[in-house]
Amino acid sequence: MKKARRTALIGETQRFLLLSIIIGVGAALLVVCFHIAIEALTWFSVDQSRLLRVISPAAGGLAGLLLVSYVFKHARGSGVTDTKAAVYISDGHVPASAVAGKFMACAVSLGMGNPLGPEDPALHMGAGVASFLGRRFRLTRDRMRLIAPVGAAAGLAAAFNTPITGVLFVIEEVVANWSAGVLGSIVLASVSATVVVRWFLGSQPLFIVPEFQLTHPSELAVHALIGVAGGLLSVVFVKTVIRLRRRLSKFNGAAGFARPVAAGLLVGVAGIWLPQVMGPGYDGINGALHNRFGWQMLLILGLAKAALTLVCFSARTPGGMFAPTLFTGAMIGGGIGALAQMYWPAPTSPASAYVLIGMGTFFAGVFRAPMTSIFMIFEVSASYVIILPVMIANTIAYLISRQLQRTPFFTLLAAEEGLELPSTEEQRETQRLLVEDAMTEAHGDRIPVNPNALLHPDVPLEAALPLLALNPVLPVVTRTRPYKLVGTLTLADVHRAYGLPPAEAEPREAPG
Amino acid sequence: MKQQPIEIRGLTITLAALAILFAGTTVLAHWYQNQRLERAASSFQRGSELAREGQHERAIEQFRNALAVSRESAEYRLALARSLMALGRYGEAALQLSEVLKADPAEALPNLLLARIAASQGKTEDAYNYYHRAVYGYWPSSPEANRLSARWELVDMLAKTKQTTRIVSELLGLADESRDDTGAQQRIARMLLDNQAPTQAAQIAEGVIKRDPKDFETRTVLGRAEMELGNYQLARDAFRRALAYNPKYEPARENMAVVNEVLSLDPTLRGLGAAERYRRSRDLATRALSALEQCLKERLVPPETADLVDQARQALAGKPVVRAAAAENNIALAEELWQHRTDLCGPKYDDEPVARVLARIAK
Repeated sequence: MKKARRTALIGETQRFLLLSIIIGVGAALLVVCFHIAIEALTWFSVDQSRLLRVISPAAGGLAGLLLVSYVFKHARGSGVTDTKAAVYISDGHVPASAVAGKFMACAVSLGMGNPLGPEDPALHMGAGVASFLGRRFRLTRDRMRLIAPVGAAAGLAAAFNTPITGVLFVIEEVVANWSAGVLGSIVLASVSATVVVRWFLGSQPLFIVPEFQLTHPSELAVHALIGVAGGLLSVVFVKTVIRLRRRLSKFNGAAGFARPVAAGLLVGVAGIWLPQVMGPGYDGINGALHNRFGWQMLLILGLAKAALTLVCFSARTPGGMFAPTLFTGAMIGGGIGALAQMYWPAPTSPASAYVLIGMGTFFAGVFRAPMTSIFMIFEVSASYVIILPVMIANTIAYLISRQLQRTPFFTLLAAEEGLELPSTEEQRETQRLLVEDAMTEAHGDRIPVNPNALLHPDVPLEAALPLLALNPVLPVVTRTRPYKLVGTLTLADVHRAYGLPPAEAEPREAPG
Repeated sequence: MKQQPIEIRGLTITLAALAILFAGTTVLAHWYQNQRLERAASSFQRGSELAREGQHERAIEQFRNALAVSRESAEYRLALARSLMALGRYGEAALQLSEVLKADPAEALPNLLLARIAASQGKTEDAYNYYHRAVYGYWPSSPEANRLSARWELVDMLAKTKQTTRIVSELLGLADESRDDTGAQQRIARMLLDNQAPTQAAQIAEGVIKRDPKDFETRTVLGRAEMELGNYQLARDAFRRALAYNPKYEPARENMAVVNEVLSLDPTLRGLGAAERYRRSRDLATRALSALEQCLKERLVPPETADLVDQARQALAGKPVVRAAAAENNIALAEELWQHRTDLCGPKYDDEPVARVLARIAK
């Protein structure tokens, strides 16, 4: 006799929330293992000898590319782009092989010294875990679409040990339209992931930030200057990455695999003199925060990291861009700050403050996620004093990048992979049409109150469509005086508002 | 609300898989943390050896490697800060030390190192505060010895920056904390004397002498303290005993000579006859006049001083009618002459006995 399956009744929302916690824990466990794998590989390769330091990045890049080219083909793309593709194209489906592929390819690539970051792969792995669990829990299609961003937030929060950053980045970059329910799930996953990561790896913030105070109001001009530098550099960086990727994509077959080898050798040689540029570079940022480098070295490190990241990313070496953008911004900010210390007429903060201020500017410019960049600096530094200058610098960098580079980085990457994904930035800024934008005005007529067939001027136009299906003419009244008519709405009005050809003529009758 | 069935078996399997992943990660993380600690310890050891050999640049590299792995280790951070200080990279060292203090502000050693950095940069107030925190902070081993050593450093810093009041206060603290250390007590007595605290210097010197009566150096310190207090008889007694234990001890001899001269010049000593008192007062006024005349050489002489010098010459040339009154007049004249000398040529003097006698009389 077939055994009856044991089930329990649980609401869809509760199921989603329960799943969010499980996703957070699962993604974080994976990220902890990922973190350990990267560091252990670094110990046994880059740290062993000078020769290994030179050849490891090339070997790691090649191994990573071979893995994603032949074994885990779903792990080829950018984590953010693939997560967005899951949301908008594949109903939340992220293949499990993408998770395994990202893990192995990026662990090998980053562990062996390539100057990329583990956060984007972690975000992708989180989305993959979420998608896998969503399928197992048989979520509805609507919920499945939203499950990948929940996992992505968990992955990013675990990678940075920053719950707020995980939440904000997903809201800013992955899902433009979100409801309170989705936000709750994203927060739950992000928090549970952070708790697990802290359990295993400790609760210290990513960077140890010395105590400092902002000394003089005129310093704000220096902060703005750092924002300008970060913004301009980010524009050059994004444009060059896209161009170089296009050029290098022409190399196929063996030549295609020669790309990460050449890029890796470049990294290895640079690593002899500038070991800080290898790997994600968090130790380098910590060093800069503790006055380890002079202004010349800071600027050299920043530019070298940007150049090597650009080459490796364009050469399809597996890895993400989050950590390198933080590193570059930090060094450029530190360099400008150190120069300001020497030449600025008023007293200035210690160089470490500028390192922190610069850190988010390049990130804000490249990824166009200003809120994330601000809160990320706040979270990774656990310093409240820094918020004001970071807001100034990051916003300037973001605005410059927006002005000079119209299409956001992830949209360009998606287009390169043949995907047309909506830009969350555009979605955020697209003006929604309201009833008042479409209605035909009518003044002063008193109408009988029928709350089921009334519209208010501030209601989104799409919300009026179901009512229009039942009533050809809808009265529009103000909220304060529901008996007083201010306009009427018909299907023809809606067509006109959307710039469509006029609908068939309909009689406009006085309502009531 | 729409209720949907959730498969308990599916949930159980998921949770079991999560538990297995958790267990696996725990094992992996345990290995990882052990490896990190081992690597950090090994780097730290190499760094410490290099630092001992004076190769601080290479030591710094190793300490940084250790810290990259074990960021919360105060020991590694302190070692890094010491090597940075050895290379004169004080700004960087100060940041590292501040990190250690952030974790535990009562830790004494980072405070002591920060005090040294502040002192080397001329930030005496900061240095004073850091030294104080080092003195009263937490020392994991040999707290008393370390506290004393930190306090001595503070005293040396204060001495270099001539902060007399603070030195005396610290020295008294030190005297209290090092009662059984004769060497320290000797040094404290000397320093108290050098910093215008003769009463306290005398007390401590007496304590040292009680324990070691043959300590001629401390007896000399005691004699000097008594001199400063105007107790010349007691001072002479102290120098005499010091010379009895070491007749060739030059400082005692020199001071003894001064004391003897003071005692032979002072016209206010009890038990002097009128003639002796007059003679001494006349000698005193003559030497004061001579000091003023010496001072007036190559100097524009103010008219009132010139008048005073003339009057003094006349007064000292004449014979007294009443010796007691003349002695008083001579003493007053000597005081006035010395005052003019001090006003014109400053407090430095060549004739120490005259200065001391007049100071004693002024008291």
